[in-house]
Amino acid sequence: MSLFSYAAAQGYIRARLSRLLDRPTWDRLLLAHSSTELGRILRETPLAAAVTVDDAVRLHALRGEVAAVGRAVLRFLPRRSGQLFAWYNQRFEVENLKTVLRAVHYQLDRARASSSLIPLGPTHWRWETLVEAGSVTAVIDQIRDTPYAPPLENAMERYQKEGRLFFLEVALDLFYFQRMVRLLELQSGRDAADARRLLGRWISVQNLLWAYRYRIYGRMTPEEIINYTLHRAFAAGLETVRRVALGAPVIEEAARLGFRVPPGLSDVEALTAIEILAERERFQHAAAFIGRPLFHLAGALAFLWLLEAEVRDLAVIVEGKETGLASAEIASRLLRAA
Amino acid sequence: MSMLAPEAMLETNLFVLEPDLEIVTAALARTEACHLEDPLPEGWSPAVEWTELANQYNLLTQRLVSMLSILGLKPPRDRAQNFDLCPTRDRRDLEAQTSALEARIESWQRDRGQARQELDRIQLGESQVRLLLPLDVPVEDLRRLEYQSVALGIMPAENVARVAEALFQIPFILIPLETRKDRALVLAASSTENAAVLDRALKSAFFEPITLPPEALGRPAEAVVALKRRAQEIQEHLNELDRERRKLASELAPELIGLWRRASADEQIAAAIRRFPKHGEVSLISGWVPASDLERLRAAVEKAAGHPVAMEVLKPDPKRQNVPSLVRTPRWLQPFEELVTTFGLSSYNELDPTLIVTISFLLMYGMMFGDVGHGLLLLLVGLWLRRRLIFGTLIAAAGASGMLFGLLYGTAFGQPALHAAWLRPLEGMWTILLSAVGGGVVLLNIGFALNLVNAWRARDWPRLLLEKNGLVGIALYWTLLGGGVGVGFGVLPKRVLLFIPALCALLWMHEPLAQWIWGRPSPPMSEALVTGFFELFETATGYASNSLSFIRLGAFAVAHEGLSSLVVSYSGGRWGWLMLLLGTALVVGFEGVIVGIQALRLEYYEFFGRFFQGRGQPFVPLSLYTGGRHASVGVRA
Repeated sequence: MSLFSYAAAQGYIRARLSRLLDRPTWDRLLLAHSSTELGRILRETPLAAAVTVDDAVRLHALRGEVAAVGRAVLRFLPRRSGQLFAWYNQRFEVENLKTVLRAVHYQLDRARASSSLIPLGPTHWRWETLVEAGSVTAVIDQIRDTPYAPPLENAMERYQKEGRLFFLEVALDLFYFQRMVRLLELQSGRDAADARRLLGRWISVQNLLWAYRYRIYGRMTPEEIINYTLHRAFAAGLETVRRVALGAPVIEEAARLGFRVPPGLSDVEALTAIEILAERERFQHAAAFIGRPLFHLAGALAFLWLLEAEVRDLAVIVEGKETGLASAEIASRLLRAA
Repeated sequence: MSMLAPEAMLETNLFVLEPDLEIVTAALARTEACHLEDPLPEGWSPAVEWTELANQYNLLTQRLVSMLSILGLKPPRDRAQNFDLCPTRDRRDLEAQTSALEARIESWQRDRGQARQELDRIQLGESQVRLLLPLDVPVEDLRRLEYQSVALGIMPAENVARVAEALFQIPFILIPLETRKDRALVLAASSTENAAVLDRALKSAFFEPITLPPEALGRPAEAVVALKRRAQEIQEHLNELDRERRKLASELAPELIGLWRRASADEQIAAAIRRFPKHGEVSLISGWVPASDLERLRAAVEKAAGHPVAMEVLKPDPKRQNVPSLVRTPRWLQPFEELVTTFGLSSYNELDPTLIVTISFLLMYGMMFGDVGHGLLLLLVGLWLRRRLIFGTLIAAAGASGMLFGLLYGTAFGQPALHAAWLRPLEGMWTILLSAVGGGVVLLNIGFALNLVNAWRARDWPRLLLEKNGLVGIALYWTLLGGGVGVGFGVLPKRVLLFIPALCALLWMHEPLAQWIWGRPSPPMSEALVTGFFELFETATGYASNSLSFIRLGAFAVAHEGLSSLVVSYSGGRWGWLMLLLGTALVVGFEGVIVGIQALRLEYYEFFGRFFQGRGQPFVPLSLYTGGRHASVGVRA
């Protein structure tokens, strides 16, 4: 039955691939003189729906579109890998929940907060109402029926005592990624190998970056770093986190994961470099996988990653144009430039 | 209403005076014919006071849902049609009635909550004291330990192991005493000089320290007995409270559900009104209305207001506006809707291809899977799955199509058991391969035709005339195909082929031409020429490959018969029946799937690529339906 499922997914993905922006369009986007021109170019592409009447590009709408495509692909997948894929796709919900928590915690303007939410289509979530909740406690009360409530409740006492949103965000991230690891470990056969190669790698990089960020930016103690990171994270699990917590250099740990960070960079610069290297690697993997028969989980994941990379690169171009960066400079920051 | 196209929409602006606003909005909601928009014209201001009211209603419905849930009831999912709705008037009344019910339920809930909390505290205390049994020292003497480097508390159960890992630098004791609802009671200890490390590790694992219950006095064994007795008393009280709840539920259910219905309907009205901008005493209700519903909507609104209401009706401008799509699919076609909606929803200007896709999918499937016996098995499986799986009916229809083609091929379970009404694929291989390509050419041309209609509806002239699926493209396709064949067979003069370079030049130059004629934005000439050249190359090769792609229909038909007859040929001897059973299962299961994929691929890739973009926005009318978003996509006609 899984063959049938993947085959249906393959049909859908193959058809949808034609909607990705092609090379000439990327070139035109890079050469655009303003963000309005970007909008006009995108209006002629399958991404036209994300362009407003005044030619502004709604990146959040594009992210919402990626989530919607994820939901569409999910309908075809077999149960077990489907659960993993669904959970992966739920990161948009996690993102929105963080946006809500930030808006409520910092008492941000509601309209502005609402516009920062990723549109996730018809769901049981009432994001607009959540943004208008008076307190973080009220938010958690309103999401009591979701899986995110228990981890947030666990962190509430600390949040209430110290008034730092960090505890809630870290609880949410840990919950999300731990569940992802568990679902990933439930996979078998080719799906398990695919999931480890793609998602496992992604989780490892995330965990390594967290550990370093807590050490470098948060100046946390080893026991805190260990408690705020994943212990089972494939190539960057507990042993890696321990080494990081005890002061291992960034370049050394990056090399263990296969990333060559140029020497002479500060720790902060090195982290940024790892992040970009990891994103480029992800894009290259996705591009390579999509060229093969897609009768496995890797095909579905690779497709989503290509879509995400498209949105990410578009965001870079939009922001680059708005800040007046030269085209060559913007191009060097794109994933597809690698 | 057309089965092939989304309903014609009209942009409707209602200018409603404040006294009529609520009643008109309620009437609009009852018609379920208006997809609201959120305009804010210059000089108009948002209805801020309604945001407040909508939030109040939201909280009110949440309170009611919470009460229903406390009593073990569920809010119904239906439409509140028979209420005289008026959110500003109703709120006070609803609020008062809700508060009255709440007072009764809350008093019960408070009692129960307190009893439950008390029971949890006592039981927790008991389990803590139990751990101290071996010590045989008065509990009160041990209390002071919590001020040392010993901590007793609760943390997420999954964090216990994490804390142990986090304490890798110091000697420590960590004893999980009990786990309840994913929370673990933990006793942790370290030497005094490592107390800070222990404290940080515990805190970062979301550890919440607890203290032993004050009732725990004396030696642990005595304290446990006293705590047990107290727990039993509380449990009896809880049982009594549960009986009370059942009584409350049967007594309050009708009133509570009635209140909830009314409050949620009022909430929908208030939430809608907060989207209407206002200018002095006038509010603007702007939305999309199906043209066929306009008069019904006008009548409903005017009847509700008791006088004519100013209504501006404008034709949509799909180039600038995001017009929602309402596709009314007939009931019989609904099981096949997924074939299209999986890919995307027709946008306002696009034809809905569900009917054509259904017919062509079934024909392609049947052609590749033609066998009366195998088709019958698939039909039975589909009928069995019909109520369980969304694809059940589709599978059954595919099976029926397989049976039909089985009659044309004269095969049943891989044996030439019947008279072939058309041909046997293995015997008429060339005929069936050419027929498949012919069918593909027909389908591609339907796609071309649909693209012309879509382009016409969108008034997209470059797409209609100059692009690869427009008139120039079609002319090139037919000159290459028809002209090539005609000249090859000597039916047409060679000069017909002179059209090819002319048409290629038009296709190559389509972007600069579109800019020149219609002022459509185009990249610089040099860039347009380079990209145009490669597009032309891709288009020309694409015409051939797209048409030949359909050859697989014939190839699969031949393969199906070959594979089936192979199974039959191995079905002799003692275990032949088993071979036949497994082989047939393999053919029906495996090949049935592959054939489905091939048909889908041809639909999505070859056919949709010609005309369908599927970027429609669903029509979601304002309604009083309380089961969530009510999209009228594919509503039963």
